[in-house]
Amino acid sequence: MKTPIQEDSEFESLLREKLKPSTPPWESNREVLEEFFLKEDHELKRERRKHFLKHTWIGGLGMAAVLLLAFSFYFGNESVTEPETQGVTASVSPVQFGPKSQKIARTRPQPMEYEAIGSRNQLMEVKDKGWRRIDDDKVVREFKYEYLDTVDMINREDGSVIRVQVPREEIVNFSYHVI
Amino acid sequence: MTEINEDYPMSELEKWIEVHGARLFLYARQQTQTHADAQDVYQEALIQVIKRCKKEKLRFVPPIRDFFVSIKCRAIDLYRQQKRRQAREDKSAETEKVIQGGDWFVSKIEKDEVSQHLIEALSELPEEQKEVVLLKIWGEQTFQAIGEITRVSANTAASRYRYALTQLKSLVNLQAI
Repeated sequence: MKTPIQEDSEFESLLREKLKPSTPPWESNREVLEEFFLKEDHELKRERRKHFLKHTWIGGLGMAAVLLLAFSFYFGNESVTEPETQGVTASVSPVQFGPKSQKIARTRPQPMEYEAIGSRNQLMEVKDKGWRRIDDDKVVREFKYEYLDTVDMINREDGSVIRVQVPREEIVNFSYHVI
Repeated sequence: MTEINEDYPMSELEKWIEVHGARLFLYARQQTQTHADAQDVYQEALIQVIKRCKKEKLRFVPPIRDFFVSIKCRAIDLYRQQKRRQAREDKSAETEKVIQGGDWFVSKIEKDEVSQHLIEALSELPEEQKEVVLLKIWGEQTFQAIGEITRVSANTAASRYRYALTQLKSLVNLQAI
């Protein structure tokens, strides 16, 4: 005596065995492969570039704010050490910006004497870190953007200018969605 | 999941299509009125998903479920287009009734009686049940995935499948088999 599950299973096997789906026409597959390998999709490239620029801009603004805070903290302490947060190392160097800049070597400037006169976020490298599974069935592509953030600061009293440079890394995950 | 390397070698994709092409085309055929429409839908759906791979530099061909979803979306679009066109042309004559299932499966020179019965029984099923049966038996999808493709819950998909199987078995004279 067969159980209903056994019957179902046998019937499924019968369907699979007796009815084989017909294969798609050869021309269709050829079209798919041609589309994939031969045609360039410029629109998609533009989209990707736009997305990338958006991230750079937002990240740059955020980093400039962090840099300013770090800088005021650095000059607010008597015992000055290299600022180091989460593996990111900042470098501060005087910039030759006129004859008075030599004073930096002799006297340490007091807090609040410097003000930012310009900043720049330079993208150094983009690394493709490959696919990562973050949930059970969600897969994302991870990209690591490496920037060098630069802030130039001036001391209005003696005209000296210093440049703060901080390397920065940003991980961006691109998730995959079906259209 | 099929892995494809950075240069997307054609052989990998060809292999993938060889394995899954038939089941995807069967689903496209069920979702459309004619063989030609199925061909268009199948082709466009695959291109759409593969374009996505290209855009995001995928190392893996996405799950087959995504292709089923894409086929369904394209079939719905096509149906709407055809409906609009038909309304414009104001055709009074009804579309010729096509016996479904005739060209869905591999045709043999001598189709045996059982195969004929099965095809006829399959064509008698309501569309939503037929869809679930195709996805389950030849698409090899889980009820969860079928639910996602057909936009119903997994339970609904499962119960449609059970009804369909019962109906199929009663339509095909199992004793004769």
